[in-house]
Amino acid sequence: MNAGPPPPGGDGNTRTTIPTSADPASSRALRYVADIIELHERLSYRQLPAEIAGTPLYHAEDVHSGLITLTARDSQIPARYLRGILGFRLAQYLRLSWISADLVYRTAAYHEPLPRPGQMESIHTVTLCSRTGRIRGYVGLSCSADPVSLPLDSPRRSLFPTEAAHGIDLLGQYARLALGTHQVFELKRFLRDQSMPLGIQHDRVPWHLMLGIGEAMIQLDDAIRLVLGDAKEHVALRHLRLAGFDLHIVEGTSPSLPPSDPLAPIYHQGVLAKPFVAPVPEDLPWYRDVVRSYMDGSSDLTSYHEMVARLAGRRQAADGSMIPRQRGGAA
Amino acid sequence: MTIDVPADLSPELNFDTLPPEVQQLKEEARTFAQEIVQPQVRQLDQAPAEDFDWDVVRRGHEIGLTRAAVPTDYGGLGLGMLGVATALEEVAAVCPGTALVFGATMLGQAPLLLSGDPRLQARYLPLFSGDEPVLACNAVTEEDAGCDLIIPANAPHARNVMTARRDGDQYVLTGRKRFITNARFAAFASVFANMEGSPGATGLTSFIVPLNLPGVVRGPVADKMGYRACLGSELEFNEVRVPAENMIGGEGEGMPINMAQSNMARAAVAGISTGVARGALEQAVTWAGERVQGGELLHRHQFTAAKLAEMSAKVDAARLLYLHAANTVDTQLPPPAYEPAVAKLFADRAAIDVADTALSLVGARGYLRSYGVEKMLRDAYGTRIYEGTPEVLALTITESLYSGDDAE
Amino acid sequence: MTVFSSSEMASEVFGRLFGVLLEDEQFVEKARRESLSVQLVHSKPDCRIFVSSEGVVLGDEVPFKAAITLKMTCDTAHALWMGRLLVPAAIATGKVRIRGRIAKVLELVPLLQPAFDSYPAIAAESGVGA
Repeated sequence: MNAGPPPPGGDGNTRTTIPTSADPASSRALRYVADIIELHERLSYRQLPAEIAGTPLYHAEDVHSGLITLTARDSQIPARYLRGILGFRLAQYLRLSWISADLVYRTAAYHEPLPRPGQMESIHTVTLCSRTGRIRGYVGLSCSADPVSLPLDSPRRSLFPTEAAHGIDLLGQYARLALGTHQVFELKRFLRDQSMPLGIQHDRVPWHLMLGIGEAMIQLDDAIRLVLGDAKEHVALRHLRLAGFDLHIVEGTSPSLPPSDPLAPIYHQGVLAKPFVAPVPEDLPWYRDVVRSYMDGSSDLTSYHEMVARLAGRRQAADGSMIPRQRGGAA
Repeated sequence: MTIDVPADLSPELNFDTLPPEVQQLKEEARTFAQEIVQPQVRQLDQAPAEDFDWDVVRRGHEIGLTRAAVPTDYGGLGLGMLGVATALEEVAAVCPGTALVFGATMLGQAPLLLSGDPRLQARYLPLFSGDEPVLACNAVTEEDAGCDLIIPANAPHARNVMTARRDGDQYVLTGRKRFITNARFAAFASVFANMEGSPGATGLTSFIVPLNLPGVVRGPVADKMGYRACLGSELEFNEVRVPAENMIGGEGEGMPINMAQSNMARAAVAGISTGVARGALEQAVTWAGERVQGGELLHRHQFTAAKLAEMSAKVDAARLLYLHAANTVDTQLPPPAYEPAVAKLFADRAAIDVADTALSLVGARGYLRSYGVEKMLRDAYGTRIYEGTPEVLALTITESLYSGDDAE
Repeated sequence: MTVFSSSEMASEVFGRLFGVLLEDEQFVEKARRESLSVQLVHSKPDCRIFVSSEGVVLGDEVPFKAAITLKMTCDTAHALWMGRLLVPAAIATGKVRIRGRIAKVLELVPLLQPAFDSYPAIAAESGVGA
């Protein structure tokens, strides 16, 4: 016979601590979300690379850290895997208290909403542990809600969620480029598995995610021309700048979501995410090559700091300033 | 008295064509059985009782056998008992023990499917949607209570039944279950316990119990006559605390839920019995098509031909009965009692009869463990025991003959 | 003594209830995607309702062949929607009988929450017994 069974309780991680409340209804909600977090800690998707329909936009294995990264569109990902990925997003946001536990409980959700059929397709990048199949990181490129592509300054265009939350128009300034809203994508949920211990996987996951979306942008060329979103200074914004994105950041906004929106808590934090927009850099392939060669050990770079220095050095050499800023205002 | 004959036997079932998604799983199950299980079948049967082959289970999980009945909203295939039964027939034709690993998992899921509770479903059903195999089990039988827990009239007389008591926002479970398939490795169990203070099993209540909770002890594995590819063991509950929201239905509502899930499951179990019968028939047909005695192939001798004809008719009849039963279960709630009981009663008998006849047909070789026919006969006796013995099924069928339709 | 005094009262209450459900995008999308239609046959008093993603139809004339048929008394329906009778118990004891694509019915039940939330107020407004 073969080796022993997988441990019934998961991979040996300690059980999620369940906060309690004096209010029975609140206790049930907290227990529910603790169970949903634990559910997703238990699920793994080792077969996902083989189950992608057609050719993924990106597929790479990092044998040094035991990570596999895949980038694919909505329709390429079989339904149960897509629910799993959206469930990972929900679980991480629950861990971070960026999503309302009460609303998740009331709607009996165990994953974020599925994409609606018939619209443009979003693009998902997932990094998996090659040994366990667990999702270690995720970033999404979310498409426009417009049924047809509209000019960026069209009054009829749908605001991207970031624009709606911050009350600003990020795209009007790019109308001169004669782009359509279907060429704009919102960067969403740049996330690492919160239960992942510090170590090589922890360090490399964000860069594998950047390689995934970068490769998708290079391949899709004119189909993705602008990226927007909101992010914190020392997390996603830093990675985007190092990857060559010339970020236009809007300062001083007061983002909020209605209480009925499960994501309302994300804007109740001490440090808020800032809205940004950036064209996809023309020299993105150069940045991709630097990061990829460091990660696969084929370059002359011998440390993470050297990689960062090389990336930062190109932007500084190009224009001397990496951070154009703008004060916030109404959309 | 005349007995009503249903005017519309199978309103949605064409006996010649299965729905495409059901047909697809059936074909994948056949391939799994022939290419993955068949090469291992002797090892699966003759290994020590505690041995369990996760590689085989993983391959079955990959094609969806652990989630065939789980709704698509929770990552399952969303097939009803028709999908489950036809797939399990294919696996059981090679190894019913392997089939029961998946059948028992479905049985553990059944109360969740019947619960109508989206939060309970969301917490447990997606477990089966990942790439690692996960099993479930259904914990009913106890040392002193077997049929007493599935015959409502017996419930007041049940002795020493596992108990449940309410303590704040939790229920505390104490007791022991026996002969529980998959208990050794299941992630959770659907457990039936009697509310403290209710006599016998009249307060039977259904709970979903994660088996990693403090106080759960997975007991020794039983060394069985057949069905050796699956493990049956004890489950001990030492003051196990489960959240109140893990109760299905209400306090004391466990008996009808148990009956409903049994009625669902019997349609699928009849598929397993049919598979056992078919597997034995296939071995007999192969032998009788190769062996020459008296200058003729065995099947040209009239005695043998008569036996093969009887066996074949029984297999086909068993199949038609379980297809009809599965279809009625898939199109009616509560699941009807009559059709699944008839299907299982017939298929269980057919499995023993056909395996016994196959053994005699094959002769001395059939008596050898290496040939594989004696295994099918040993397995056939197991199917007669779980999910309703012939006696229990007879009571169920007779009760249906005398009860009217639609009480309200 | 039944909770509903007349078929008209039952039709009005349950008609309004399913109207609320049809305002829920998730329910409508699911119903449309799965081509689900439901016939509810209430008794004591008699009240028949047809529900699809297109709308609610009251009365005995059959507008379409429903994919699912539910049968129950009005008192059972009232107890269910008030949360006093739980779905699994109702089904297992035969108080609710369902014919049709059961797998789809079981998938639909979790989407009925808006109706459960709205029913007490609808019942109270119509003077249905508490």
